[in-house]
Amino acid sequence: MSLSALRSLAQGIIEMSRELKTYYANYVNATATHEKGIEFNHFVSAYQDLHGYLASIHNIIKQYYDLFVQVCNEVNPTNKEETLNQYQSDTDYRQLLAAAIKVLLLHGNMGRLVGFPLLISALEVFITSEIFNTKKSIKYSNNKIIFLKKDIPSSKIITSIIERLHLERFFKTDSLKRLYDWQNIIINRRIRTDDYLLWFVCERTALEILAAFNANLKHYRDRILEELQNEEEIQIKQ
Amino acid sequence: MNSRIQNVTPRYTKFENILPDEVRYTQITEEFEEAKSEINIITEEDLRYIKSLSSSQNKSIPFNQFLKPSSIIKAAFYLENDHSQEPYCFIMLTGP
Repeated sequence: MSLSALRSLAQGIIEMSRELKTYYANYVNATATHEKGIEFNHFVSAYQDLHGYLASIHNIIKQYYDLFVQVCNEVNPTNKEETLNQYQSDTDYRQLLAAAIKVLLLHGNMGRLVGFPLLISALEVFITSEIFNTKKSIKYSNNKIIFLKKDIPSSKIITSIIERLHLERFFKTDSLKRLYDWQNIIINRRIRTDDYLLWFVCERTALEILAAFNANLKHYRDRILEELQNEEEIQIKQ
Repeated sequence: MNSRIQNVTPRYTKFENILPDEVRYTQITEEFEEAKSEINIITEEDLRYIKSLSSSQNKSIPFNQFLKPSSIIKAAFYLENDHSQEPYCFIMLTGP
């Protein structure tokens, strides 16, 4: 699997090196200012892609090494070699997803196609990790949450519970539901999202939803957890 | 024993921050071909080591079974509590 990925990436570099030369030559040879600007943009973009491929190759080699160490340690428990990377990422996924949307939007507007699914994922990760964080609970700080249906309840289920408890005004569930519906519309009907909409949602709406959950969960987390337990989605275990 | 895989890294990282004038298509192709051969030798070496280690520890690893694509996916996307799964998934690295 690693070798297959390495081969693809190496091929990507070879192709990109050709493109880079072409774009660079076009930039150097362009005379009109506007044309020079366009070629410079192409050149920079190709240069970033080349670097991206190289960085991925570097990561894959490190990950191969780590997996080798893990297998050796597993097979022979007296082996105590250390891996290069931690098993769990120390980067916050919510920040990473938000950054990914921005990067995609800033590079050729690719965020228009995938921005919503990424945004929804970022919000889901935040909402579920906050709701089920019993350390922040008033009543259940010493309890553990067991997920009865194998998966963590989706944001849609959590939203419906919030609405049943008539707490929607505190959690901006209308905005959340509209984002879900828009995600479906975009993916299934292949409707292109306008940039202003995505930027607005990224910079305003998503942050407002996060702030609403952040501020109000301390008061209502326990009620939501209890309702999820009544619905047999979770069990709050001692 | 540690894998020598990291020795291959400079073959790739030498192209980081390269200036466009210095990019030579043939040089990259040659360097990558050499890296590929080196990686093949290292992964075979690593595989031999894992096999000998598992045999010395009296642990059997169904290496051939891991070559099937479905097994590679199963090993790569390991699910907790999946008792049918073989915990040693080294072969996914050297699989197809």
